[in-house]
Amino acid sequence: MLEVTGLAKSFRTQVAVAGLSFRVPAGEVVGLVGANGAGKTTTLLILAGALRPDAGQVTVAGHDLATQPLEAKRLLGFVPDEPELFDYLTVEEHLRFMARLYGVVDPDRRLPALLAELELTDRRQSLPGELSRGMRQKLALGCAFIHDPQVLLLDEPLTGLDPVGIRRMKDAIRSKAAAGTAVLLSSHQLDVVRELCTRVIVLGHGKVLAQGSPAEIAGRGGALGPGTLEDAVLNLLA
Amino acid sequence: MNSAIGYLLSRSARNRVRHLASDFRRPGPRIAVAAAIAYFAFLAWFSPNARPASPDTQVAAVVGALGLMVLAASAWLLGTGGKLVELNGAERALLLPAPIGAGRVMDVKLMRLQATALGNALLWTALTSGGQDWATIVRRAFAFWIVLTTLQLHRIAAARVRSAAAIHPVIRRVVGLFGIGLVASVPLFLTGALRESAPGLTALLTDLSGNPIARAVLWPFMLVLRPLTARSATEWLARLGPALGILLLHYLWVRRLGPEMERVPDPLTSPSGAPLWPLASSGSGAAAFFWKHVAALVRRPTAVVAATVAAALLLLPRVLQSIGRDDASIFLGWMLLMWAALLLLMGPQFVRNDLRRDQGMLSLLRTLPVRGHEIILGASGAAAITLATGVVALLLAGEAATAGSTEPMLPVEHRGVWLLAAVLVVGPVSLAGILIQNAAVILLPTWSRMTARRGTATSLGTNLANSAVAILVLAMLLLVPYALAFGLWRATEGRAWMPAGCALLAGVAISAECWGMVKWLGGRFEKMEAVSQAPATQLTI
Repeated sequence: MLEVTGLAKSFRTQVAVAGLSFRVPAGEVVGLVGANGAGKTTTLLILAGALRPDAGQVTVAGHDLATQPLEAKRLLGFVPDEPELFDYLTVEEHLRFMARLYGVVDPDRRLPALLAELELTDRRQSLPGELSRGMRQKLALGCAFIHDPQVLLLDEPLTGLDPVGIRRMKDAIRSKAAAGTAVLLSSHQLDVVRELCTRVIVLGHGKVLAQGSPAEIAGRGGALGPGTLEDAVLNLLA
Repeated sequence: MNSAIGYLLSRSARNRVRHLASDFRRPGPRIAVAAAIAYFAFLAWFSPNARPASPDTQVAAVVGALGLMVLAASAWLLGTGGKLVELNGAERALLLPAPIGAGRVMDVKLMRLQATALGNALLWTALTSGGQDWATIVRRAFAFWIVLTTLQLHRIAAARVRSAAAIHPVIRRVVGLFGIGLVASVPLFLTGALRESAPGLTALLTDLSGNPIARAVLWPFMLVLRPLTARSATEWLARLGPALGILLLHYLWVRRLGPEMERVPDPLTSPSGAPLWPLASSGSGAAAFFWKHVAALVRRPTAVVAATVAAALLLLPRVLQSIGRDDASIFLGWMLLMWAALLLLMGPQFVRNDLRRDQGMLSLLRTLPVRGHEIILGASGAAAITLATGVVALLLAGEAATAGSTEPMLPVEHRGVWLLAAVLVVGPVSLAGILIQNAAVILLPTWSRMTARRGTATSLGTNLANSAVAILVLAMLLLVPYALAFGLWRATEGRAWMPAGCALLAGVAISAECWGMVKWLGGRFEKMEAVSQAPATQLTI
């Protein structure tokens, strides 16, 4: 579903991503982990079409992001690490606006269920300035979910959510994957990664240090031998 | 604890100066400061000619007090003073939980504001003290500092009272009505005075200065301003006491109000969720962005104020004409026509419900399945319509106000055609002006972000340089349309519809140029690097 080949990106002299290649098949949840500055957010921004890579190719369901950007972007849903919202649009208007841009056929049918899923039904007329951090995060997630994307790119999606919101979001990610959505999830919360992801990619200095299922990564363990995913990732990043 | 606050203030000031110094390695801030210095030099050069021979007249006192009263009243109406002492994230997280009183936190904010007050006091002193001795200059600088600091404190107090009142609907309405009443009282009072006075502005102001009600209303404002117009050290000292007393009372008032502990949205200054026509579920991306940017305009509280002022300006000529003061109506009309022209030229800098609103979110916009030119067209179109509506409203109000004028520049028999001609070009010219500003967002993002800063010489210079360059580019864009219109004018000379025809041709030509710009900027937008869109760092603590 999402295929990345030889992706590279530098900011002046600083190499952010160096020849990254991986696949996220339909129905799989892939975790992107790594230290701060490892290139996770840069990778997600490139995949979302917000940054142009220096080299490499990104295809979304066969559509090349460089040559068919609109076709590829219509299939993507992106949630940045900080909820970016328009000051002057209400919760419902945000969702309607995004539905219009992504060509959702019947937004009136889709909206009530999505608002209920996000627990924002009572705040549908509120502006972002009137929402808590967690509610803003939920709205950002709603904006990415409104068009039922085939590929979901999530950058720290659980930040700011309350326990109920976290549980619901985990369930939503699982159900999206079960319905065939390819999910790429960047997170520092390794217990979440272990719980949700079918495969983990460990990034360091813009390169893939290791990839495999959480159990496989944990099994490698590095110098300390087999241990938890956290031990393994810490060893890889050391 | 005092030493901790002192440490915070001194280190912050030192770091800010270092930050500003490092900023000057880039050409943008250097150009901005050069533009600001050139502007001040220009003002200082021409100010001696503009200065009245004897400033300490009753008329000057009335004008000054009226101006100060309008500024104070607008603080109650707009509540913009709250921004001056708004706690930033670090202050909220580190100072509020610290074992210091709310008054001390407020002192920190007020001390920081002193840089602006002192800078402005020195600037105004420099502009108004040519040829004076040093003692007079020092006295005047101190007097300016009193006026500016008192006004600053009044703005803060007004905003804090409004913010506190925002929790209680009834009090909120009372405070809002108080502000509207204060602002409305000025034109009402002036209209009343106009009915009685002889023709001419000086006659009106002389009458006002002798009017006991006007003197009573303006008295506190005059007290604050009086040290400015003192002609000797003794007179200055005698006038200093009451002015300092008012300043001290304001300081105690603001300190007692304290900083805003929690962010309570003030319904009068916060964006509202006012209903807008629903966005159709299908259609072009440009139309969706246009809708979004219209929402950004109509949901700003200042939109209500602007609409109220526009309505008042449209009504005022009728009021003046009804009391037989056609001279005042015509004077106002010429002012309105001049403002219309100024707004058309300078407005694109300030009407910002376009891509400049989303400058921090350009990365997110890039992820949407919409072509760049659609985003540019929707955003710029919304701002252009806003600007054009303002210009056309001023033109119509100006035309109505000068209805009785027989000025040769506006012959009565051709007025309708000329007005139509003006209306025809206003839209395309507005769009061109807005597109130039949006081009800066895409081509020079760092510079464009600098135009949003306020309150420093750098920001003033940035805006001046920005306006100058934008007007120059606009003039270049208008060259071909102007040449076409001129050609048509020469070919059809003498026809009554000629001005409208030429304007239509020019409007079509400008629109074609705008479309070319939209397509080109859209392409550039799609190729922008997200790294250059990161918000400019600002040192806060």
